[in-house]
Amino acid sequence: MQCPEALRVQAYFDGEVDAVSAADIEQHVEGCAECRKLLQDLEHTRSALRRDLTDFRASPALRARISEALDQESSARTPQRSALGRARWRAPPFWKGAMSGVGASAVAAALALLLLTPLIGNSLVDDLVGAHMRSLMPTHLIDVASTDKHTVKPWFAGHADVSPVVADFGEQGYRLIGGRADYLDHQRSAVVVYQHGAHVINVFSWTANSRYLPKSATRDGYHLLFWQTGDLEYCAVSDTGWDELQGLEQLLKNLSSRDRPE
Amino acid sequence: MIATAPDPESAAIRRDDERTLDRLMASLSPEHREVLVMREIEDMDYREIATVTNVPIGTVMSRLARARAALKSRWLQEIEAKPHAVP
Repeated sequence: MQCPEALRVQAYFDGEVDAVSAADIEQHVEGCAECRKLLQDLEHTRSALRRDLTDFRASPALRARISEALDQESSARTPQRSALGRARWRAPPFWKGAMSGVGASAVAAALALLLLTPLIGNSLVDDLVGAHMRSLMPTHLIDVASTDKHTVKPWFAGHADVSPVVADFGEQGYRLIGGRADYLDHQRSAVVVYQHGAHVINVFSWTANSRYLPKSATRDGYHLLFWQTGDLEYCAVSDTGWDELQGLEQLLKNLSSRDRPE
Repeated sequence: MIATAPDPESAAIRRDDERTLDRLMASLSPEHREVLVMREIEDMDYREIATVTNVPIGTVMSRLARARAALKSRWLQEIEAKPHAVP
């Protein structure tokens, strides 16, 4: 029923065969209608996944771990390839060091966890991106405009259901410009608004429930980075790169861990 | 890649495709989902996938073939279920 060459054709499509085999397979495909169709299907599936899949990307942190483990694994065998092939997976500096000694099996477990865990509904990601885009329209960005956390933080008390960490990180490039309340996930979420260069970063926060959140998501060109601190879930949304979002996440997390003993 | 802004209609179709594909992927078995993401999205080669998932390369190949076939058959079912959704 299926052509016995199908797996070799697939390997050819995936760039896994040498030149001699490739020529051999090409010749076979010319005479085999089934394998010609297979190649078309493979190409169609790949382009559809690369274009339209939004929920299933590994988070930057997980990529860094995979990259690290694979580099260790393959350094003896093909160092030149890992130097080239891994460049796009470069981890931001604060991940370095934390990853030393991570073996491939630990990475496999992490990846399995990412892919096994039930997925967040698209709706929350849609709502967050929608709220972010609305905020970029004139006069929608900020309800309370202030670079002073002692102004923004108390404002949330009367306007939102949660009280997130608020701080100005102007020195690190994330300037606090104000706060806003958005109705999200059936509650009045608090939104802290930062300016990073020419970009606006909205940091949404709401009371955590037991639902699974992705580590990150990309939708309509916007990046969403999720994390949880205590009983609050946070999501930073922006059109900046991952590194910039992770930088802000780290600053806010550090702040939360310092604040907690009070 | 983002040189031209898509018109609203094709943007709507695109969003529809995104949701469909996310849903179909969610319906696959974890093993199939995993191998597809690693190969097609993360662009890992067979040996890397074999290392990370701790299975032989032959298993990676057959699993990948089954995963692709499963996704395709679900996609075809989707098209039959609502033909108007496909331009």
